[in-house]
Amino acid sequence: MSTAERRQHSRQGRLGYWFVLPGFAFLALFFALPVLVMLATSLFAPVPGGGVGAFQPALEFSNYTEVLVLYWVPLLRSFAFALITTVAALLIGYPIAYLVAVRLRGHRLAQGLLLVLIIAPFFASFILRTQAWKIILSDDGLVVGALKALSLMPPGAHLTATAVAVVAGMTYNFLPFMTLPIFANLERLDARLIEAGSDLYASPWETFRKVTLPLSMPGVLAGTLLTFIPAAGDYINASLLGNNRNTTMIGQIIESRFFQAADYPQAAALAFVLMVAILILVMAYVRRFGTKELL
Amino acid sequence: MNAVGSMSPAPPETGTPATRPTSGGLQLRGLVKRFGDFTAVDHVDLEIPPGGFFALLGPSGCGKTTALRMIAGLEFPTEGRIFLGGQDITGVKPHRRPVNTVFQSYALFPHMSVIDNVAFGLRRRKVHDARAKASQVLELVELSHLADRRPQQLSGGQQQRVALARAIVNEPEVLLLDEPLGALDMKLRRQMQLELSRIQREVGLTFIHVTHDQDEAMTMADIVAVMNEGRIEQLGPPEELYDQPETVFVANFLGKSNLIEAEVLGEDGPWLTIAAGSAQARLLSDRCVSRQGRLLVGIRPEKIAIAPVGSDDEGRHGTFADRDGEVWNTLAGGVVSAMTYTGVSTEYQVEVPGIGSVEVFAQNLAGDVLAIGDRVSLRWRAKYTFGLAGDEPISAGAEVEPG
Ligand SMILES: Nc1ncnc2c1ncn2[C@@H]1O[C@H](COP(=O)(O)OP(=O)(O)OP(=O)(O)O)[C@@H](O)[C@H]1O
Ligand SMILES: [Mg+2]
Repeated sequence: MSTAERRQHSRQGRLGYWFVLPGFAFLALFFALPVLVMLATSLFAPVPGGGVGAFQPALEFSNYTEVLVLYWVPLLRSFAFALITTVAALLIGYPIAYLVAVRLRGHRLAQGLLLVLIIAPFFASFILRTQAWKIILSDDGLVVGALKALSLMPPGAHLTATAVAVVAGMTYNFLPFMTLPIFANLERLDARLIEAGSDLYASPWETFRKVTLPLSMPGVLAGTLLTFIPAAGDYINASLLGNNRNTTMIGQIIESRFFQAADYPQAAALAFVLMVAILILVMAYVRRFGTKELL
Repeated sequence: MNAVGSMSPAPPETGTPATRPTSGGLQLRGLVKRFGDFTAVDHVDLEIPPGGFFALLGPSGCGKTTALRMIAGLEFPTEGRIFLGGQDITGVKPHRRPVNTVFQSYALFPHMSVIDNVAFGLRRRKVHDARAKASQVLELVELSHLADRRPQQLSGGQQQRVALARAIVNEPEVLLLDEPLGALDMKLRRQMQLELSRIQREVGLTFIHVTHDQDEAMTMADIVAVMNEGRIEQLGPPEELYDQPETVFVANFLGKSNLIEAEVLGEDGPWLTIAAGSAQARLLSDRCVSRQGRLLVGIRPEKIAIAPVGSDDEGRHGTFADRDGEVWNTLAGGVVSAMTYTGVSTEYQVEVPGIGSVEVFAQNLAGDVLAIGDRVSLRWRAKYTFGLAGDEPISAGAEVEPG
């Protein structure tokens, strides 16, 4: 390739960069800037003698130690709930995605119907859906009644205002985030590879374990991230379905610190801790599972 | 073998009487596969002896892959039964069949290294030393140095050899090869053909080799089946198929044939006398599909001797016997209308009045090549003539692209 040709070649390559410019500008304005503002706010100190919500710029690093000491339990609980939610959503979402993408391949109508069903919850508002769950799980609701009638639940027990209700609500609300990426991935799975597996003495289960599952790992990775990250920061499920004692999640604390206590530095510090913690966990996770299986 | 009947409901017999399959080998009985109202495989009956090298030859879309898929268990036949070693395997799941496939699309596992791909089948069957065995087979296909690569880092030909290794390593009772050498260059192709033949002889596996390359089918296989529109047109050893085709499709698809419309005049001992235009000729009646009415008379281009007018054959028409009692057919009054010189031989197109265009391949033995416009006479040993049904379209199989 001559120098002129090479220059021409790289100029064509560079053209693409101009198209990402608006995106970068958008992110800088609406993501990077708020994060910086949040970071600054998290170090603010109360104005001496000032009223509620009066803070001034400072470098008050003790804000961080303070919130960690006060709120490490809800923080850990958030990650525990998010983890359980992610696992539950994976266990429910993968088979659904597999059914629609692989088993129903070629049956366009059935596929379309099931896909609509998967996305259907998105048509109603998040809060409304969660409120509906509250009714379903309430003491005089159908589920509790049935479980008690079957003696699967002791008479005095509840489902609302329990950790189970919170995790169940989150699993339900985030299920499409798990199912859709896995579906998108399995959709592209080459059916001939499954045939090759069965031709080479692998039972359907072995073919799934050795061929389908490894090949769908990029979808699983995307789905688990899309579920885990919002679940860790969620506060709606916890406040509507939880009990404010042993189900409190970090999102609730941030919300109440900000809106009710007007303790902006603490809220910002907590939000930043949450962000960094998620980032570290996600990076560790992607390093462990991502690069090896992503083709 | 008595278990055959009890294993499954009686096959929907199609024409052939319900004979018990003989031991060993692979048998297809009345195999039909329909997709909707399209019939991809149409009543195929085959018997492939154990340890045989069988080639399935046919144009694109004639149902070769579909037939293989039914043998592998990847497609369930609409009708008919499949027997392996006397056992009815029609309903057996693919992973329980001692059958492996080299897929037309390779279907290598992209998330595994080459060596893991090759060892896959061995590991599923918990074979001891899977990796070592896989390495040996990789050596056989000359890919040892790429064992740790991913398939997508290989060239098309290399991928094909991995696919081959991945199937062969399992030493299945039947190996199905769906155009396994299609992506290889000429040199590698020849080499792999020899390798395949050698492997087949050494391990004694039954090979079913689908190919569009008739040279490949003819040189490698013990038995060749020519397939067309879902049916087996003809089946036999390569020489037999070439020497005595039974349908116009086979005559045209396997090599080239001159086919001339003719009418049977009479029978004389083993011979039939026929008339084509103004010429008469003879052919052996047992090389002819019928003994009366209209026929298509065929002769292979290389069987015809071409001589310039002026030599001692001049003026001789029809049929004559030479001093050794050999019967010859002659066409006189031809004119060379086109020629292609290929070095070893020359391909002539000769216009014969009342007959049409006749193709002749002449070996360049003496070096005296004829020219366009030369007047020639043609002759060939009558015993090489074959007769086909007269109602078949004369160009069937001539223009199709081999698949
Ligand atoms: N799943 C299917 N549904 C509908 N039609 C099919 C299906 N599979 C194959 N066919 C049709 O059956 C016919 C035979 O296909 P097949 O793949 O067996 O051909 P082939 O002989 O292997 O051709 P090639 O040499 O091009 O590979 C084709 O006309 C094809 O379109
Ligand atoms: Mg094919």
